[in-house]
Amino acid sequence: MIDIDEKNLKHGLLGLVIALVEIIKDALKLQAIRRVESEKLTEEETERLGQALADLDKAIEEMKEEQGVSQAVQSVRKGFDDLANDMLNKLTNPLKWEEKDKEVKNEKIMAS
Amino acid sequence: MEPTRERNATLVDLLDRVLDKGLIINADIIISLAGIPLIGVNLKAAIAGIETMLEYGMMQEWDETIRAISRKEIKEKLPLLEGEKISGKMFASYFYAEGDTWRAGWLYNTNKRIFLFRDEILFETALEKIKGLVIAEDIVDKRKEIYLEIENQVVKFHAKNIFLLKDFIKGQIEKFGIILKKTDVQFLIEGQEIIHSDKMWYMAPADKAFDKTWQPGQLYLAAKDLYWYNSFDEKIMLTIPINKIMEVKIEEEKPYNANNKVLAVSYAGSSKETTFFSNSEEILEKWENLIKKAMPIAA
Repeated sequence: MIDIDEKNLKHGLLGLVIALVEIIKDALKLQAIRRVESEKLTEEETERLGQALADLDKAIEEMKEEQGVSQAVQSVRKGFDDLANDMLNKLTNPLKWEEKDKEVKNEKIMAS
Repeated sequence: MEPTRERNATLVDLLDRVLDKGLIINADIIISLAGIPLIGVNLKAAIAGIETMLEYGMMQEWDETIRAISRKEIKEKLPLLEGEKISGKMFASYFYAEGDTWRAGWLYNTNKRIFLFRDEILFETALEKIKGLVIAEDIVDKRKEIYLEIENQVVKFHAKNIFLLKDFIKGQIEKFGIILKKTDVQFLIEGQEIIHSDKMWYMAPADKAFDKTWQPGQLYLAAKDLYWYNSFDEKIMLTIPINKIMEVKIEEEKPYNANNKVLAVSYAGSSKETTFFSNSEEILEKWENLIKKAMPIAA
């Protein structure tokens, strides 16, 4: 799922690192929105926060472009997202529990 | 109605949910060897977005202290005048003539000054002291700079996007109702005496936006170079060193839909290049003579 090409170790590794940075950045952004919406920050702080996030966005975009890893980052992020999705699905989807139960039962039958 | 779940959750969604709700880990771990406990870990951790933390009354003091510190730091760093408000900043560099070097920093626009800051104020000027602003190619560096005329001196600025910088400075000046005196190229042509100058049409070469067009401007004959200044863009578009001029003649034909006759100036660029100027015949004749007089005798 998370595919690091051996021939392209630099791209893969850099893609992985940038993808992680991006994920953290996105999470920070959502938290920032929450803080701003709480209206406890001063206008100046809101402005500074927004500017810093925008700068970060730009810096990451530029780095991706420069290193030519946009594609790699995207695929790593997709990998992570699928992983998260799968995990949540297994934990929270009743239909999946049923499937799992069946699997376990089948295994037991096979074993006996 | 049945509850549904967004089919594709992303990792960011998951993180956000965790941070929003908060996560408490409370664990006791004992590492033992051969049935004898050796190391004990009593772990208590709470992870949440600060907003959630505050809701539960945690880390309140920290939040306030940290914000206060950074507020103070920023205030201390930028020595603002009383009642001075920053309206924008841009990364730029300015030529420090005494040290003969470029100094880079953040250029701040405020309601009183324009100043360049990096750890200290590198350059500052009151808005009303600014008299003129033009973009021109630096004769030594061969790149476009902004020349700001401040009282009796001229300061050079540079930024990655020079036009953005121009709008940045000019917009600020104009916002406060300061009218720049008609920009003058005199101070651009450093150390060169201007011999003659007239209004002149110039056949601008085609670029991305336009086909070849006649553009209005001002032609300057200085001691060493011939300049054409575009009054629309407020910058010098053409510089021809006089010792490169090979031929000057008035053409009878009126190329490119000119209303009048044109003056063709040929010079040695990468190959022999020709530019065209247009005005009334009388003025063209005057310029023909002027340029011929200035040209090296060998030509």
